[in-house]
Amino acid sequence: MNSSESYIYMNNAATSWPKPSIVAEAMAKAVGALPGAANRGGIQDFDVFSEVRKELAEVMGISCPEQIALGSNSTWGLNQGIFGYPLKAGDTVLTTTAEHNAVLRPLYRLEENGVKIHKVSVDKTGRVQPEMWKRALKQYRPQLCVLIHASNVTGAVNDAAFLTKLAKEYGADMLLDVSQTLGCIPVELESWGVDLAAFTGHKYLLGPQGTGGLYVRPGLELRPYIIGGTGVMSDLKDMPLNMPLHLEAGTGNEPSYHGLLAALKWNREHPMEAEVLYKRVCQLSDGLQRLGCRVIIPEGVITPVVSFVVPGIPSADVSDILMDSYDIICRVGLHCAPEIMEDLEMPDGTIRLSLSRFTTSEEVEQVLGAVQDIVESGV
Amino acid sequence: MIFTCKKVENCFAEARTYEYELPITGEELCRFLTGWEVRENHRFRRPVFSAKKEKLEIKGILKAHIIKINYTAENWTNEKEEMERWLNHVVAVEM
Repeated sequence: MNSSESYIYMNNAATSWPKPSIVAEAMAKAVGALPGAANRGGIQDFDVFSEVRKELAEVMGISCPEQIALGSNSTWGLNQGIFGYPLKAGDTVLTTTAEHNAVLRPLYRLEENGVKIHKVSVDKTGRVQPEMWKRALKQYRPQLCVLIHASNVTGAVNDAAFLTKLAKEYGADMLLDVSQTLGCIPVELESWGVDLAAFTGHKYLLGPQGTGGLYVRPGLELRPYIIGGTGVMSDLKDMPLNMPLHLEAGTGNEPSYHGLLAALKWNREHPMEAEVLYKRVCQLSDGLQRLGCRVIIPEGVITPVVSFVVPGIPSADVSDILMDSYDIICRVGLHCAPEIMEDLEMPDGTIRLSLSRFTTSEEVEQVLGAVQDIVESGV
Repeated sequence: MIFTCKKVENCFAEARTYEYELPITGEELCRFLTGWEVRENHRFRRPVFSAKKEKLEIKGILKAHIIKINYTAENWTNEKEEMERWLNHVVAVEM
């Protein structure tokens, strides 16, 4: 391996890199420190999980931090939300073809138990069209909707506020997957009326892997998907009813949550310059288009993701060359979202470059230079 | 075996690409690829090669020790065994 400094990292939609140095410092300090009191701390005990909840509540636009259950990642949160929601055989879930396998696979499992699943197609840029969403709501009358806030393949951001409003009009609850948006674009769960939201700490929040969870609207009771010890109320035969304990069985990942707390504070002190990042994304997508690549360019609000293919050259070959010959880290294939590819008319998948606030204009130019070499050589 | 082999996973359950770390470079390996359609590309920052024979493909960086082989035949496990025997032979000769 070459030293990490020589790499151009364009896989931030998978996990962010670099992260602020205080994240690693906080984690190292936590590993060596006296462990927390596992839900039994007194006034003077520092409870990292509560502190993280308070910071997250700010970022998520919610007023009840205790409604955030902390687990290992978005997948954990989505599983808790999907399997914990009170669905029975014959009920219906409405979702989209843009969803990640963290949504699709749990839904396929529900389908085996008699729950009906309907998927709304997305447009050629990966965005849900409100009229199609409304039509499906009217036709299928779901109990629960599961919606990706932004496609991890194309970066197209859905109008979560409006789509949630529509879902409510037809009596459905909304589970929103904010894995790709939290820390990147404004998220206002409470004012949007979102009932459940799964999130991760290691993407645009710049925290470490192993952090993420689920927000649950007050009053909505889920049946915990994972049950076990909580450190308190051990005399009960079932999980305590109060949030977040209701969904938090087992020992939490304390060092990683110290890292996430550091990242959240760092983000608050260093707001992202969204316009600069948007400019970089345009620089990249425009440049790729000029080189003759087929680029997916969604209009309107986006995350810093650019998906493309080079006509006539297998995407796996392009990504191999970017990585092996130029030290450019990208992602190729279906991006764990297999259903969207048909709507995008890219059945074999895409090459995905995902930027971060740390991506420089020079790095974008280097990537374009490498793609130019590939296009011109025909491989 | 005088090389290390690891499956290269991708998005498809039927992935049949394997990575081999050899004690010789791609450039040295190319000398043994008679009967293969070998292409070198020196334009890239680290020049690469690819070699094709029927449906079998070998790819790698010319100056590096890691190659990738994609097995596509129906009886691909036999193809892989045969290829690995050949690699062993090549490495033994070259070393």
